[in-house]
Amino acid sequence: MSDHTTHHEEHHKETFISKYVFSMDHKMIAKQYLITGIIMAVIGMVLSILFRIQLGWPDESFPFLEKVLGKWAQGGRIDPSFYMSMVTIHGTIMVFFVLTAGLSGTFSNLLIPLQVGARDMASPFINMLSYWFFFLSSVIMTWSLLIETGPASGGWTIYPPLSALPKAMPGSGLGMTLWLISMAIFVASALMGGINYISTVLNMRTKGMSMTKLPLTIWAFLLTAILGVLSFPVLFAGVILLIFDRGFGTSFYLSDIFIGGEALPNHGGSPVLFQHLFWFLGHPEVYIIIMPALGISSEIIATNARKPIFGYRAMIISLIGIAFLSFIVWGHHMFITGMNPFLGSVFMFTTLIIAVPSAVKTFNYLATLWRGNIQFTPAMLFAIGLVSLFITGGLTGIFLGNASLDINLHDTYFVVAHFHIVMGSAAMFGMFAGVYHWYPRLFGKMMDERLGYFHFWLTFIAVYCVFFPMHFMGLDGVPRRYYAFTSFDFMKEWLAVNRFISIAAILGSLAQFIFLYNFFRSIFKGKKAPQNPWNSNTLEWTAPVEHMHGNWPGEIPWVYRWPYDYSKPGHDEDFIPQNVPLSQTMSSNLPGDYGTHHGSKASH
Amino acid sequence: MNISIAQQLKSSTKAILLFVLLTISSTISFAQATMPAATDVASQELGITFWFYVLLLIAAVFAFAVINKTLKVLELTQELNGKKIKNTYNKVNGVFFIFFLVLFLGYVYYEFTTHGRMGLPESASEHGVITDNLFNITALITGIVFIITHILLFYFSFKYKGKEKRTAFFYPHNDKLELYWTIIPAIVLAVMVLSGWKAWTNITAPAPKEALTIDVTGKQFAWIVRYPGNDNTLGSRAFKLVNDVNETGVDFNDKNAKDDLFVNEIYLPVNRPVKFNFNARDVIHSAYMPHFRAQMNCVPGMPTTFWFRPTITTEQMRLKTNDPKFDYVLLCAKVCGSAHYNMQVKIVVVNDTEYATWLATKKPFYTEEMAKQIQEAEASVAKAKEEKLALNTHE
Repeated sequence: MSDHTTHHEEHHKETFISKYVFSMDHKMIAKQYLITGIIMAVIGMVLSILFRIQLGWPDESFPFLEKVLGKWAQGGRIDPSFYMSMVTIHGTIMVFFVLTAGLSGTFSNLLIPLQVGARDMASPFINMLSYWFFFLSSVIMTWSLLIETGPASGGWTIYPPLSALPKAMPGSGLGMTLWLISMAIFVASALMGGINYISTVLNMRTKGMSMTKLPLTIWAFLLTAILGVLSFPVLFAGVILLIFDRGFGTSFYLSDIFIGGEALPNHGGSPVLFQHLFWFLGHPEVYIIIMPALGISSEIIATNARKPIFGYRAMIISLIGIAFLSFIVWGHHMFITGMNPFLGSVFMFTTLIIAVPSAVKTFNYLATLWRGNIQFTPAMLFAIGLVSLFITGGLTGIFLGNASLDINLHDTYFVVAHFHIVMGSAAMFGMFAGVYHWYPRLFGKMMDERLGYFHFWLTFIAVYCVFFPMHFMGLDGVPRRYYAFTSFDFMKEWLAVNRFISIAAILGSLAQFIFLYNFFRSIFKGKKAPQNPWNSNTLEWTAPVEHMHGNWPGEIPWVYRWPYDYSKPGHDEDFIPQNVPLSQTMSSNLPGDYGTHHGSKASH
Repeated sequence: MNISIAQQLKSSTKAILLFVLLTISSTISFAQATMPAATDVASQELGITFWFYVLLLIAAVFAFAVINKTLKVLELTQELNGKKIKNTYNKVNGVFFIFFLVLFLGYVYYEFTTHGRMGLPESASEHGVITDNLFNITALITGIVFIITHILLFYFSFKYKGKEKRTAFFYPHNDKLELYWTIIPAIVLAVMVLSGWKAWTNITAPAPKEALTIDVTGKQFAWIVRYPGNDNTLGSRAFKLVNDVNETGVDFNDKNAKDDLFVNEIYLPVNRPVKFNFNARDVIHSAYMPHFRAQMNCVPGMPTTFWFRPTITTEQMRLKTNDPKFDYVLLCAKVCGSAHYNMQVKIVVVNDTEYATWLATKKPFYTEEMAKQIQEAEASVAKAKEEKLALNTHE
């Protein structure tokens, strides 16, 4: 098999198009995902700055806004409909295009074949299709920003009837149609990617790489892909039914609606049905976002603390626990939709259980740092930042998961604070950590560490300045998705806080330009990367720095040990890569090294 | 943390540290400094402040570039002297985690004392007191976990920062320890689930029989409020009857509907249970009454309900908050369109006699004049329908 691949590669002529555009190489596809993700992230960030300007200075006009947004900001003031659109597209882009495709797409593609020891994905062609479907859906979503009636504007959760009736708001017209088409294509992309990730991890591991020798990144990507494959089709069904309701006069979600002076004929549908379908994806979706980030941070924290990850098996079990539970907690988004209160109790129960595996993970991270020899690379800083944000945002989830407390907190800024910290910022930190850590593997160059430090500290501070005060706004009953807090007396006292948040957000987003500069500059001018810059154990660092088809020039390395033999007593270096046989490290072997792992026995 | 830190640090390290500290303090103080400006909302000097910010930005970028270059020079000299820049940065970042910890805890304290005081106003409903209690207990428990884990996280980052001579401790697992930190959170969460579940079942239990029943219907972008009148029974309603005059489709053939009345402000008698029947006419709305800790979605085609017992009158609340203009409010919390941010109705909680007086001033909606108007509206709807059907048959 390996001979065949190398042989094939010599004769394979690469054109510009086959190498950089329609590439079937997982490493190139990873780069494509990453760069598309970064572009989408910048769009999402710019939108957030625009609506933060509105929230911070609701009574003032900014002439430059009219120059940028045209008719959406007449007289320099953002139009309420366009405000709703920006919030909607910001959410959609960040959740799906950046933190699902950008994060999971990049690192699953890069790391799964390299870390399990495979030449490429199980199906490189479907992998390429997956990227191009994602690209197409990104283009459609971005394009929807430019149309006459404005993009979708019912919030990223697009609850019908608001999203089903063009009469309800301008964004529910063509903008919504484009949103739905884009998401349908996106789901197809996510499914093609997910099937590939699962089959590669299950079938294409190198000799000796048993499931209990996989790096935690791979476990996280595998479970993420399983979540995606099982839950995205449900969103697809929901989206298709919504397209039917919008275009073909069906009544899946519509009933008893009187709008624009006219009673609609729809009867018997239920808007709550859509919410069930949406959140059946929507909740696993937040774990689809955070689990790869947790996998990445596990790997980075172990490598840079120069210690084995504490409780490797407990980490796997908690990931599996989180993945399983994430399917039976979706109802906590719907406590106050009027569903049966008993059902609410059940969802409250399952939701609070999910805090247990999350707590185990947090404590294991802390135990990994304890008595380590911590190397503060920018990746490590972001991984530590992720742990901090995961704790902060995770704890507020305990309030929201409690149905009796959710009555007062639902749809307020408390929710905004919670999910921006725990899944938005934490996952974003995971993505940054991953980029800094695997940049040498992606581009064969090193990023500037100094700029990385600036980037981390400024971002970390900004995140807390932006999102922490929002908890208290939510406690005071300030609802989310409000165009301005000027119509209610009790909200006016929060204007100053909003301005503080807006300024922190603007400064925080300026700090991201340090990253962008560093990222793009280092592609061309970065120092050449050594083969294993972080002295890491995993297989991807045994491959040559220059990318090649098939990843390894000769035979694929065999695996003899788990990936976390850092600072093992008795060994002269503080790391032992997975492909070093136990026979070469007799001085440091432990009794457990032979007995528990079946793979190593077989390979001797 | 220990005195030798200052001595250990080289001048380059100090320079980096100083810069990062300055950046942070200026970020925060700069943002804080602008906060007082928020009170004079109609500031005319916006043009000036905008360019002020742009200039500031340019200055910041310039300063940043200068400092970055200086650091680079320092790095190079360090490396010429045979020192590993990696270890210096380990030290700087490690020390910085301790500074961050102190700043962070200070910031959290500041947030809880200033903004925390602005949040969670006194509960004006009976069940709100219970959930507030639950909230405070949860906040206490999570607060302790929050502080301890953050102290450990940042302290470990400082204490075990990389050094040339340090060797990490090979410690792959400790099953007993892991069992403890699985079981303890599980027990704590079980207690929270049980107390939350108890509160939730009480809140969602059926309303008492004597409850005042009010019909609240959301439409873009207003609330339609219907009171039962003297018989304390709301007349039935049907979607088929909705038109521009009969906005919520009340069936006026029902004798209970004859004395129903529509109001612009919700008056509630204090200490008497009130049951809200929620409906929506066009899209989903959410009736949120933050002071009463009450919220329920209003879904077209699916009636929902929520009941509570208000305990503090508006007058008492005005005294308590020392705000003579204070009013309770019902607002929309589920995104419902462009004017979602301004969809409200005032709630006034009064004592029984004031309530009776108020109710007496309200006239039933259904009069002979109204009956005529409703008939006309129904006729025109029927006619429009017929025309549509006729068009369909022609096609």
